[in-house]
Amino acid sequence: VTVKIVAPIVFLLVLLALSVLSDPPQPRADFVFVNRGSIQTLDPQRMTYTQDLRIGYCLYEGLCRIDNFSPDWKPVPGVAERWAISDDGLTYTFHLREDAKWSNGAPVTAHDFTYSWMRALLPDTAADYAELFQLVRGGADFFRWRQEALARFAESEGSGDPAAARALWEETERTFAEMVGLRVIDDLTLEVRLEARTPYFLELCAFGGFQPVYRPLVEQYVTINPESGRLNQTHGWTKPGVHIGNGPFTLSEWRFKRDMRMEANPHYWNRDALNIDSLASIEIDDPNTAVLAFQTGAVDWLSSVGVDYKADMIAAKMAFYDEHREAVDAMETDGLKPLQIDNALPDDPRKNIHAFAAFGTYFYNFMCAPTLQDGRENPFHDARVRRAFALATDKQRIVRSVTRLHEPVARTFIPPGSLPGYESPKGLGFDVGAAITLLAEAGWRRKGGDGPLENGAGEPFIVIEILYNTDGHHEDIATDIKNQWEALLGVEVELRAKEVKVYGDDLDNHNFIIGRGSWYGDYGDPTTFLDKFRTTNGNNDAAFSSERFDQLMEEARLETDRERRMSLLSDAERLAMEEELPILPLYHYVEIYLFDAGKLTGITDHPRQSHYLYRIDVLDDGQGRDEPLGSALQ
Amino acid sequence: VTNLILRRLLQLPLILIAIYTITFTLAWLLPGNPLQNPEGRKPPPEVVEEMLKQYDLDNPWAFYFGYAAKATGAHWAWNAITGKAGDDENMRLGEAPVSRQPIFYFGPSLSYKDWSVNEILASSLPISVALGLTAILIALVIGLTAGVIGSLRPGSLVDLATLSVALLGISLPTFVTGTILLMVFGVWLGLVPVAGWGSVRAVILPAITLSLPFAAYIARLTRLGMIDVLGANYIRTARAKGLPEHRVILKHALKSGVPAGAQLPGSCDGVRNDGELRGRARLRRTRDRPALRQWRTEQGPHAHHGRGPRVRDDADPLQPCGRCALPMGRSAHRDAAVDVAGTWPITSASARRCVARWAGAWRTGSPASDCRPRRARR
Repeated sequence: VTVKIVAPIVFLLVLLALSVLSDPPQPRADFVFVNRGSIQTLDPQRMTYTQDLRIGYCLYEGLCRIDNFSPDWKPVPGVAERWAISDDGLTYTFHLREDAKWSNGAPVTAHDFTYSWMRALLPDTAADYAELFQLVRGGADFFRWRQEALARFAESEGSGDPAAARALWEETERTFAEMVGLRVIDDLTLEVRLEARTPYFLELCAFGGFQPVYRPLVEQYVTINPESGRLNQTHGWTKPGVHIGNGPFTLSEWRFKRDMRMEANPHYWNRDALNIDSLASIEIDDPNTAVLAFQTGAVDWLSSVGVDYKADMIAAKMAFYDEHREAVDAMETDGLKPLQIDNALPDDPRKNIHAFAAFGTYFYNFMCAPTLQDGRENPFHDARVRRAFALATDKQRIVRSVTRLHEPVARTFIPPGSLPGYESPKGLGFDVGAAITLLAEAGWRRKGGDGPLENGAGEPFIVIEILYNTDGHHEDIATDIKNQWEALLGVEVELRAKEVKVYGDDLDNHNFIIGRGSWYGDYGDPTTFLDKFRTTNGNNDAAFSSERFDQLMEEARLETDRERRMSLLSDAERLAMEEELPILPLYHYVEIYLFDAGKLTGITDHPRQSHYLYRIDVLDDGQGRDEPLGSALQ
Repeated sequence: VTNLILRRLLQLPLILIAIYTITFTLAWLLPGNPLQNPEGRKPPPEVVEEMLKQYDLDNPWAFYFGYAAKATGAHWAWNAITGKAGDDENMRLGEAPVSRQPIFYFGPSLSYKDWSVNEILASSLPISVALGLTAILIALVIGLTAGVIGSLRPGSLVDLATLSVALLGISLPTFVTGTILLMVFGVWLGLVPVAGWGSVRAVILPAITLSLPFAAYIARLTRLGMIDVLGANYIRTARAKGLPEHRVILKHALKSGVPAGAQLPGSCDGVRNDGELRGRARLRRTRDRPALRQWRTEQGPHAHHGRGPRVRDDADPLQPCGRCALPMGRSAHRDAAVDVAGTWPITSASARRCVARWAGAWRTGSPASDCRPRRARR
């Protein structure tokens, strides 16, 4: 009897012990944080997610970097120690530093950049950001050439013949060298010729996708498919122990949906600038647990607070400020930044809650096409109607009592103040009277003054449908807007909640009347937002088309004077946000972080929120500069 | 008997093919591009077209058969027989790396582009299993002890207390008990880490959370069984002979009173279906452990660079194939195994009864109906 009972228990215990002990915990890294989400890829040319890019900036380094503590978000030297730009703004010559090395000690050369940028321009890679690389002269042509060459090859007799497939690849490499405006002058000099003036090109050179990969390693994982001639790329090279990068840190651990650990890269040219020797990102799926992990000290920085009681956290922080109102006001008048104010106030756990403005906007698309998908006439084709609905939306109410996060109310598409040198237009406020007048001009009146909205012939306004996806708080916002419009304008509004893929498909096919949307800027130029409204843009979900807008954007593209260009772009946004209204902007996003600003520096409050973790300094850990906030960088 | 075994073994692949076909069809019919973020910025159409080609997603037939061939190992076997296995190496651009494609290849993950589904399964399964086993163990220890103690003085304060705790354990969902345990032991007392994996301390809390409902069931059944047995004639005889009470209980009563409770893990709904996998749905909330379930029902606030916050994570179409096929395939295998085992000539009557009981519970899927305490043997 004893054996019968004890044997299985012992067996279970041994199994358990084996499974646990085979996976021993490591000592805590100098800096531990929770990233915004699970890492999708460590291949820089395929990265698109914030969390991936954040790790990318640790493992790789581009030609330049961004100084994310400077207000104008200045590009500073990275692998390139200096560069020259031709007078017409079309040719960039980068001089690479001699001491830039890969983590295996090999030097970083101009060839590494041409190879990596070619990867991004290959249809075989299908990089999300291929479009950005097409700013380089011949980039778009090369993409098309390779696409056609592959199609021809699959049809040809050579298909299936390994030698022919290899020949096609060699031809592709030759064509790239001839067709694309990238020239290796010598190992340390790279010349880039652009298709057109791109004032933000240096910033792109600092952007994740433009960082180099180590060719000898990556190609170990690439095979050519003899049937299609395409490259088949696998990603074994992004795993710890195998990975080679040129960034400040090297990858020492990456366990799926568990954690990632990085150690300082001894070959990094600027190793002395690092203030920590190791950093780890742990994945915590449940937002509540993540907050607890921060509170127990297991995590130094929680980079995206996702709990349901987020709004209460903000309220707690505001209450904390209220308790010290006088001191806070005094410091604000002195021009101190929020983090500095927090540090000057007495110790309190609420100090660790930080809400920072983000480079993104939450909005509703108006369908601008003359007819809806079902063939009915679309009243929102009339810009006056769109403007009226925008005027009749109380956005304050949404951020105060629906999201309760007190985000900045949006009157424009681009978050004001996020782009130095760019003046945002004023946009439209909340004015029901003006809305009613505009609707009347467009031929819509409320029956008897407060009845349903109808036109001169007594036909009612269409039943408005708001399309959104069934996650998060989208439904709460849609419900509130429905109530507002029904009460203020006498229209009937229906909610159309869809699964996110279906929702995305409907937006893509212009199959909606009002459609929820959100947009984050990619780089520091107004076009990262405004291009969306160009008639031919693939992201123009609203099917908006304005000759004047397109013309202003084109003029700005050709304008060589920076100030003139910014003012043209500002005019374009004014046209879109005060007259045409392809979208109804609701609020600009804020991001909530948890960290102790008295113990940690290097996290920026810059609206573009690209955090370079090589700047992190854990104070009083005996490593690095240990300079408290307020001095030097901040 | 042999017939039945053969029949079941032949049925098995057919069932798996049917499961695969249905899952595949459903995944394919989902609208939208599986590789594309539905919110925010879209790459140009020619790039989207190339993305689909990369994963054979432009051609349902090629994908259906290609994936099936790789997942079943047929592709690997064919290459090995025809000597084509080396071709891939010949077409490599650089030197060959150490690792090669596995025999059963479930494809790359579409969301986690650097991982293959094989790698994901390999890294998550051991954690799921370890967690499940510990939970079963804890459930047995707590459940049996509580049940026996309660049965000694039915109606007493101790009995009432264990009964009410058991009732709580059954009725409270694990995300409530888990959160409470986490707050008490993780945050206030600081005895265990709040999240993570890799030490015994990190296993305890999620395992306890997971085990509580089962412990409660086991406690109730054990208590009933023991009460039943303690009133039996042979126990009275044992007592009359002057045996000390602890010997009566430990040596005589336990033997017949406990099995009902002890067999529960095999038949209870959650544990029956590889307990930990089922239980993890809720556990995710209470303790963050990188186990399979997280990957299967991924939800969480994720932001896409330049694309606005995503509230829902990926809908990875390869994953449905993998993630549905895994539990469904497991059920199919188990059903077949149970049938086969049930027909095996088993000499020991009790062993046969045991197998029949497990088989019955598995097949009917009813948790407790067939686990009623047996009458004590007289």
